Amino acid sequence: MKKVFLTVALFAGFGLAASAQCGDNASPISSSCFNGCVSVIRPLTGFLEIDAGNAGRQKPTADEYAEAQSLLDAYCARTNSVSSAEGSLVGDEPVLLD
Amino acid sequence: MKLLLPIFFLTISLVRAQGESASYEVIYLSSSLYETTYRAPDKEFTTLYYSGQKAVYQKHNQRKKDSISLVRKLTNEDIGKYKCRERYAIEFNGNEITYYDELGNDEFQYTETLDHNWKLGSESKTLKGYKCRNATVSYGGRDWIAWYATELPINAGPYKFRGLPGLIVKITDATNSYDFELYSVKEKSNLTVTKSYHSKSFEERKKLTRDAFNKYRFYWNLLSFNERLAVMNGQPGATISFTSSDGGTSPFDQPRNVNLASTLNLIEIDHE
Repeated sequence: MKKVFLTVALFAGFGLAASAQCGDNASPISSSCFNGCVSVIRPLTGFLEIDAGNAGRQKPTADEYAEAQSLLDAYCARTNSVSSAEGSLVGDEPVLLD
Repeated sequence: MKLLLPIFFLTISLVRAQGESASYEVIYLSSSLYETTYRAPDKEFTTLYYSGQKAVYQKHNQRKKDSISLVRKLTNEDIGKYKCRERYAIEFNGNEITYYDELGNDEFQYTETLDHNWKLGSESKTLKGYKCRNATVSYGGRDWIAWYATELPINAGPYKFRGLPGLIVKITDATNSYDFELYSVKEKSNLTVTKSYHSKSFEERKKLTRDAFNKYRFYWNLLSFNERLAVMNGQPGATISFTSSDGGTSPFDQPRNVNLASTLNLIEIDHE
Protein backbone atom coordinates (compact mmCIF):
# COMPACT_ATOMS: atom_id res chain seq x y z
CA MET A 1 0.00 0.00 0.00
CA LYS A 2 1.53 3.20 -1.08
CA LYS A 3 2.30 5.70 1.56
CA VAL A 4 1.22 9.16 0.76
CA PHE A 5 1.95 11.83 3.26
CA LEU A 6 0.58 15.18 2.53
CA THR A 7 1.85 18.47 3.63
CA VAL A 8 -0.04 21.56 2.93
CA ALA A 9 1.77 24.78 2.61
CA LEU A 10 -0.23 27.90 2.69
CA PHE A 11 1.38 31.01 1.40
CA ALA A 12 -0.28 33.99 2.88
CA GLY A 13 -0.12 37.50 1.74
CA PHE A 14 -2.76 40.04 1.14
CA GLY A 15 -3.09 40.94 -2.49
CA LEU A 16 -1.65 37.66 -3.66
CA ALA A 17 -4.93 36.08 -4.53
CA ALA A 18 -4.68 36.54 -8.26
CA SER A 19 -4.20 33.26 -10.00
CA ALA A 20 -1.08 34.38 -11.86
CA GLN A 21 0.59 35.33 -8.58
CA CYS A 22 0.05 31.94 -7.05
CA GLY A 23 2.00 30.21 -9.79
CA ASP A 24 1.27 26.97 -11.55
CA ASN A 25 1.67 24.85 -8.44
CA ALA A 26 -0.77 26.60 -6.15
CA SER A 27 -4.34 27.82 -6.15
CA PRO A 28 -5.60 31.16 -4.90
CA ILE A 29 -7.78 30.93 -1.84
CA SER A 30 -9.59 33.61 0.07
CA SER A 31 -12.18 34.25 2.70
CA SER A 32 -13.39 37.21 4.72
CA CYS A 33 -10.16 37.32 6.75
CA PHE A 34 -7.54 35.88 4.45
CA ASN A 35 -6.17 36.04 0.93
CA GLY A 36 -3.38 33.80 -0.23
CA CYS A 37 -2.40 30.68 -2.06
CA VAL A 38 -2.66 27.05 -1.14
CA SER A 39 -0.59 24.15 -2.38
CA VAL A 40 0.03 20.57 -1.39
CA ILE A 41 3.40 18.97 -0.82
CA ARG A 42 3.55 15.21 -1.02
CA PRO A 43 6.81 14.12 0.64
CA LEU A 44 8.96 11.30 -0.57
CA THR A 45 7.55 7.83 -0.25
CA GLY A 46 10.60 5.87 -1.36
CA PHE A 47 8.85 4.70 -4.50
CA LEU A 48 10.49 6.41 -7.46
CA GLU A 49 7.48 6.16 -9.74
CA ILE A 50 5.32 7.84 -7.12
CA ASP A 51 7.86 10.41 -5.97
CA ALA A 52 8.67 11.48 -9.53
CA GLY A 53 5.07 12.40 -10.05
CA ASN A 54 4.68 14.03 -6.66
CA ALA A 55 7.84 16.11 -6.57
CA GLY A 56 7.49 19.66 -5.39
CA ARG A 57 4.43 21.64 -4.54
CA GLN A 58 1.20 20.82 -6.30
CA LYS A 59 -2.19 22.34 -6.67
CA PRO A 60 -4.63 20.68 -4.30
CA THR A 61 -7.20 18.43 -5.90
CA ALA A 62 -10.74 19.79 -6.13
CA ASP A 63 -11.77 17.76 -3.06
CA GLU A 64 -8.73 18.94 -1.08
CA TYR A 65 -9.36 22.51 -2.13
CA ALA A 66 -13.04 22.28 -1.13
CA GLU A 67 -12.03 21.12 2.35
CA ALA A 68 -9.40 23.87 2.61
CA GLN A 69 -11.98 26.47 1.61
CA SER A 70 -14.49 25.11 4.11
CA LEU A 71 -12.01 25.20 6.98
CA LEU A 72 -10.77 28.64 6.00
CA ASP A 73 -14.31 30.02 5.93
CA ALA A 74 -15.03 28.47 9.33
CA TYR A 75 -11.83 29.92 10.75
CA CYS A 76 -12.69 33.39 9.52
CA ALA A 77 -16.26 33.14 10.80
CA ARG A 78 -14.91 32.25 14.24
CA THR A 79 -12.16 34.77 14.52
CA ASN A 80 -12.75 37.69 12.26
CA SER A 81 -15.17 40.50 12.68
CA VAL A 82 -17.46 40.97 9.73
CA SER A 83 -18.54 44.20 8.15
CA SER A 84 -22.19 43.60 8.89
CA ALA A 85 -23.65 42.45 12.17
CA GLU A 86 -26.30 40.75 10.07
CA GLY A 87 -23.78 38.25 8.81
CA SER A 88 -21.67 37.76 5.75
CA LEU A 89 -23.07 36.60 2.44
CA VAL A 90 -21.35 33.58 1.00
CA GLY A 91 -21.27 34.00 -2.75
CA ASP A 92 -23.10 36.40 -4.99
CA GLU A 93 -26.74 37.19 -5.31
CA PRO A 94 -28.37 34.68 -7.63
CA VAL A 95 -29.11 35.73 -11.16
CA LEU A 96 -32.78 35.12 -11.70
CA LEU A 97 -33.57 33.61 -15.04
CA ASP A 98 -36.77 34.53 -16.83
CA MET B 1 -68.04 3.83 -31.35
CA LYS B 2 -69.32 7.40 -31.18
CA LEU B 3 -68.64 7.37 -27.47
CA LEU B 4 -65.05 6.17 -27.80
CA LEU B 5 -63.68 9.28 -29.49
CA PRO B 6 -64.67 11.78 -26.76
CA ILE B 7 -63.37 9.38 -24.10
CA PHE B 8 -60.08 9.13 -25.99
CA PHE B 9 -59.66 12.92 -26.15
CA LEU B 10 -60.69 13.29 -22.51
CA THR B 11 -58.05 10.74 -21.53
CA ILE B 12 -55.39 12.54 -23.59
CA SER B 13 -56.32 15.86 -21.99
CA LEU B 14 -56.09 14.41 -18.50
CA VAL B 15 -52.71 12.82 -19.18
CA ARG B 16 -51.42 16.07 -20.65
CA ALA B 17 -52.74 18.07 -17.70
CA GLN B 18 -50.98 15.77 -15.25
CA GLY B 19 -47.74 15.95 -17.18
CA GLU B 20 -47.83 19.72 -17.32
CA SER B 21 -48.22 20.41 -13.60
CA ALA B 22 -46.83 23.80 -12.68
CA SER B 23 -43.15 24.01 -11.89
CA TYR B 24 -41.56 26.65 -9.69
CA GLU B 25 -38.11 27.98 -8.95
CA VAL B 26 -38.12 29.10 -5.33
CA ILE B 27 -35.09 30.88 -3.93
CA TYR B 28 -34.47 31.33 -0.22
CA LEU B 29 -31.84 33.30 1.66
CA SER B 30 -30.52 30.99 4.34
CA SER B 31 -28.79 32.13 7.48
CA SER B 32 -26.71 29.50 9.28
CA LEU B 33 -24.79 29.70 12.51
CA TYR B 34 -22.70 26.58 11.96
CA GLU B 35 -20.85 27.09 15.24
CA THR B 36 -22.09 28.93 18.31
CA THR B 37 -18.82 30.87 18.44
CA TYR B 38 -19.30 32.42 15.00
CA ARG B 39 -19.41 36.20 15.15
CA ALA B 40 -22.32 36.19 12.70
CA PRO B 41 -24.22 33.63 10.65
CA ASP B 42 -23.23 32.69 7.13
CA LYS B 43 -25.78 33.73 4.55
CA GLU B 44 -26.27 31.79 1.38
CA PHE B 45 -28.89 31.59 -1.33
CA THR B 46 -30.58 28.24 -1.72
CA THR B 47 -32.85 27.02 -4.48
CA LEU B 48 -35.82 24.72 -4.61
CA TYR B 49 -36.96 23.38 -7.95
CA TYR B 50 -40.50 22.13 -7.49
CA SER B 51 -42.82 20.27 -9.81
CA GLY B 52 -45.77 18.55 -8.22
CA GLN B 53 -44.66 15.70 -5.99
CA LYS B 54 -41.05 16.04 -7.09
CA ALA B 55 -38.54 18.66 -6.06
CA VAL B 56 -34.85 19.20 -5.46
CA TYR B 57 -33.31 21.57 -2.96
CA GLN B 58 -29.67 22.65 -2.65
CA LYS B 59 -27.41 25.62 -2.09
CA HIS B 60 -27.51 27.97 -5.07
CA ASN B 61 -23.76 27.87 -5.60
CA GLN B 62 -23.68 24.09 -5.35
CA ARG B 63 -26.23 23.97 -8.15
CA LYS B 64 -23.94 26.22 -10.21
CA LYS B 65 -21.00 23.91 -9.56
CA ASP B 66 -23.09 20.86 -10.48
CA SER B 67 -24.07 22.50 -13.77
CA ILE B 68 -20.41 23.24 -14.52
CA SER B 69 -19.46 19.66 -13.67
CA LEU B 70 -21.90 18.42 -16.29
CA VAL B 71 -19.81 19.99 -19.05
CA ARG B 72 -16.26 20.05 -17.70
CA LYS B 73 -14.12 19.20 -14.70
CA LEU B 74 -14.57 21.57 -11.78
CA THR B 75 -11.47 23.68 -11.10
CA ASN B 76 -10.25 25.07 -7.79
CA GLU B 77 -11.03 28.50 -9.15
CA ASP B 78 -14.65 27.41 -9.66
CA ILE B 79 -14.82 26.18 -6.06
CA GLY B 80 -13.33 29.44 -4.80
CA LYS B 81 -15.68 31.50 -6.94
CA TYR B 82 -18.86 29.58 -6.10
CA LYS B 83 -18.28 29.25 -2.39
CA CYS B 84 -20.63 26.91 -0.68
CA ARG B 85 -20.43 25.85 2.94
CA GLU B 86 -22.51 22.73 2.41
CA ARG B 87 -22.61 20.51 -0.62
CA TYR B 88 -25.80 18.61 0.10
CA ALA B 89 -28.82 18.15 -2.16
CA ILE B 90 -32.24 16.88 -1.20
CA GLU B 91 -34.48 15.17 -3.73
CA PHE B 92 -38.18 14.88 -2.92
CA ASN B 93 -40.70 12.42 -4.21
CA GLY B 94 -43.72 13.23 -2.11
CA ASN B 95 -42.65 12.71 1.47
CA GLU B 96 -39.86 10.35 0.47
CA ILE B 97 -36.52 12.10 0.24
CA THR B 98 -33.05 11.14 -0.84
CA TYR B 99 -30.34 13.20 0.80
CA TYR B 100 -26.95 13.48 -0.91
CA ASP B 101 -23.85 15.04 0.58
CA GLU B 102 -20.13 15.20 -0.07
CA LEU B 103 -17.50 15.14 2.64
CA GLY B 104 -13.87 14.95 1.57
CA ASN B 105 -13.74 12.83 -1.56
CA ASP B 106 -16.75 10.70 -0.67
CA GLU B 107 -20.36 11.11 -1.67
CA PHE B 108 -23.00 9.89 0.75
CA GLN B 109 -26.70 9.30 0.45
CA TYR B 110 -29.57 8.24 2.65
CA THR B 111 -33.31 7.99 2.27
CA GLU B 112 -35.87 9.27 4.72
CA THR B 113 -39.63 9.43 4.99
CA LEU B 114 -40.70 12.83 6.22
CA ASP B 115 -43.47 12.81 8.78
CA HIS B 116 -43.60 16.37 10.03
CA ASN B 117 -46.14 16.81 12.79
CA TRP B 118 -47.03 20.41 12.05
CA LYS B 119 -49.05 22.32 14.58
CA LEU B 120 -50.96 25.09 12.83
CA GLY B 121 -51.16 28.36 14.73
CA SER B 122 -53.68 31.17 14.61
CA GLU B 123 -51.30 34.09 14.15
CA SER B 124 -50.89 35.85 10.84
CA LYS B 125 -48.67 38.53 9.37
CA THR B 126 -47.52 39.78 6.01
CA LEU B 127 -44.09 38.68 4.86
CA LYS B 128 -42.57 39.42 1.49
CA GLY B 129 -45.94 40.74 0.39
CA TYR B 130 -47.77 37.53 1.20
CA LYS B 131 -50.28 37.01 3.96
CA CYS B 132 -48.79 34.28 6.09
CA ARG B 133 -49.94 32.04 8.90
CA ASN B 134 -47.76 30.42 11.49
CA ALA B 135 -47.05 26.77 12.25
CA THR B 136 -44.53 24.95 14.41
CA VAL B 137 -42.75 21.65 14.10
CA SER B 138 -39.93 19.77 15.79
CA TYR B 139 -37.35 18.20 13.53
CA GLY B 140 -33.73 17.18 13.85
CA GLY B 141 -33.56 18.09 17.52
CA ARG B 142 -34.72 21.66 16.94
CA ASP B 143 -38.05 23.44 17.30
CA TRP B 144 -38.98 25.40 14.20
CA ILE B 145 -41.41 28.27 13.66
CA ALA B 146 -42.72 28.58 10.10
CA TRP B 147 -44.74 31.17 8.25
CA TYR B 148 -46.56 29.94 5.16
CA ALA B 149 -48.67 31.62 2.48
CA THR B 150 -51.91 29.90 1.54
CA GLU B 151 -52.14 32.14 -1.52
CA LEU B 152 -49.13 30.20 -2.85
CA PRO B 153 -50.58 26.68 -2.95
CA ILE B 154 -47.21 24.97 -3.19
CA ASN B 155 -46.55 22.17 -0.74
CA ALA B 156 -42.90 23.00 -0.33
CA GLY B 157 -40.32 24.89 1.65
CA PRO B 158 -36.62 25.09 2.30
CA TYR B 159 -34.42 22.23 3.48
CA LYS B 160 -36.61 19.25 4.42
CA PHE B 161 -39.64 21.30 5.36
CA ARG B 162 -42.94 20.77 3.57
CA GLY B 163 -46.42 19.58 4.37
CA LEU B 164 -48.16 22.91 4.99
CA PRO B 165 -51.15 24.22 3.02
CA GLY B 166 -49.00 26.82 1.30
CA LEU B 167 -45.42 27.69 0.47
CA ILE B 168 -43.18 28.28 3.48
CA VAL B 169 -42.12 31.93 3.30
CA LYS B 170 -39.96 31.91 6.42
CA ILE B 171 -38.83 29.30 8.89
CA THR B 172 -36.56 29.82 11.87
CA ASP B 173 -35.33 27.50 14.57
CA ALA B 174 -36.04 28.43 18.19
CA THR B 175 -32.40 29.29 18.90
CA ASN B 176 -32.17 31.60 15.86
CA SER B 177 -29.25 29.53 14.62
CA TYR B 178 -30.91 28.71 11.31
CA ASP B 179 -33.30 30.80 9.26
CA PHE B 180 -34.65 30.52 5.74
CA GLU B 181 -36.54 33.39 4.15
CA LEU B 182 -38.18 33.51 0.75
CA TYR B 183 -36.26 35.60 -1.78
CA SER B 184 -38.22 34.90 -4.95
CA VAL B 185 -40.69 32.47 -6.46
CA LYS B 186 -41.24 32.09 -10.18
CA GLU B 187 -43.24 29.71 -12.29
CA LYS B 188 -40.96 27.96 -14.76
CA SER B 189 -41.15 25.28 -17.35
CA ASN B 190 -38.85 22.35 -17.94
CA LEU B 191 -37.18 22.37 -14.55
CA THR B 192 -34.99 19.39 -13.73
CA VAL B 193 -36.15 18.30 -10.30
CA THR B 194 -33.31 15.92 -9.53
CA LYS B 195 -29.70 16.58 -8.57
CA SER B 196 -28.04 17.14 -11.92
CA TYR B 197 -24.55 15.85 -11.12
CA HIS B 198 -23.06 13.24 -8.81
CA SER B 199 -19.34 13.03 -8.13
CA LYS B 200 -19.66 9.29 -7.56
CA SER B 201 -21.65 6.61 -9.32
CA PHE B 202 -24.55 5.02 -7.46
CA GLU B 203 -22.40 2.00 -6.64
CA GLU B 204 -19.55 4.17 -5.33
CA ARG B 205 -21.71 6.31 -3.05
CA LYS B 206 -21.70 5.46 0.64
CA LYS B 207 -25.23 4.59 1.67
CA LEU B 208 -25.98 5.20 5.32
CA THR B 209 -28.95 5.79 7.55
CA ARG B 210 -29.76 9.39 8.42
CA ASP B 211 -28.54 8.91 11.97
CA ALA B 212 -25.28 7.27 10.88
CA PHE B 213 -24.62 10.03 8.35
CA ASN B 214 -25.30 12.78 10.87
CA LYS B 215 -22.86 11.16 13.31
CA TYR B 216 -20.23 10.90 10.56
CA ARG B 217 -20.79 14.52 9.53
CA PHE B 218 -20.47 15.68 13.13
CA TYR B 219 -17.13 13.95 13.62
CA TRP B 220 -15.90 14.98 10.16
CA ASN B 221 -16.45 18.60 11.16
CA LEU B 222 -14.25 18.10 14.21
CA LEU B 223 -11.28 16.99 12.11
CA SER B 224 -8.36 19.25 11.32
CA PHE B 225 -7.30 19.77 7.73
CA ASN B 226 -4.45 17.27 8.10
CA GLU B 227 -6.79 14.69 9.54
CA ARG B 228 -9.23 15.18 6.69
CA LEU B 229 -6.42 14.76 4.17
CA ALA B 230 -5.38 11.57 5.92
CA VAL B 231 -8.91 10.19 5.66
CA MET B 232 -9.18 11.22 2.01
CA ASN B 233 -5.92 9.51 1.13
CA GLY B 234 -6.47 6.47 3.30
CA GLN B 235 -3.36 7.09 5.38
CA PRO B 236 -2.86 8.63 8.82
CA GLY B 237 0.10 10.80 9.70
CA ALA B 238 -0.42 13.76 7.44
CA THR B 239 1.48 16.84 8.50
CA ILE B 240 1.14 20.49 7.82
CA SER B 241 3.50 23.37 7.30
CA PHE B 242 2.84 27.00 6.79
CA THR B 243 4.76 30.02 5.68
CA SER B 244 3.36 33.49 5.77
CA SER B 245 4.75 36.52 4.08
CA ASP B 246 3.65 38.76 6.92
CA GLY B 247 4.54 36.38 9.73
CA GLY B 248 0.92 36.08 10.77
CA THR B 249 -0.87 32.97 11.80
CA SER B 250 -2.68 30.75 9.35
CA PRO B 251 -5.99 28.99 9.65
CA PHE B 252 -4.14 25.79 8.85
CA ASP B 253 -1.55 26.44 11.53
CA GLN B 254 -4.10 25.74 14.19
CA PRO B 255 -4.23 22.38 15.96
CA ARG B 256 -7.56 20.64 16.18
CA ASN B 257 -10.01 22.80 18.07
CA VAL B 258 -10.69 20.63 21.09
CA ASN B 259 -13.69 22.72 22.06
CA LEU B 260 -15.38 22.40 18.69
CA ALA B 261 -17.52 19.44 19.76
CA SER B 262 -19.32 21.69 22.22
CA THR B 263 -19.70 24.64 19.87
CA LEU B 264 -20.53 22.81 16.63
CA ASN B 265 -24.09 23.78 15.78
CA LEU B 266 -25.24 21.69 12.82
CA ILE B 267 -28.80 21.95 11.57
CA GLU B 268 -29.69 18.44 12.75
CA ILE B 269 -28.59 17.69 16.29
CA ASP B 270 -30.67 14.71 17.28
CA HIS B 271 -28.05 12.05 16.54
CA GLU B 272 -26.40 10.13 19.38
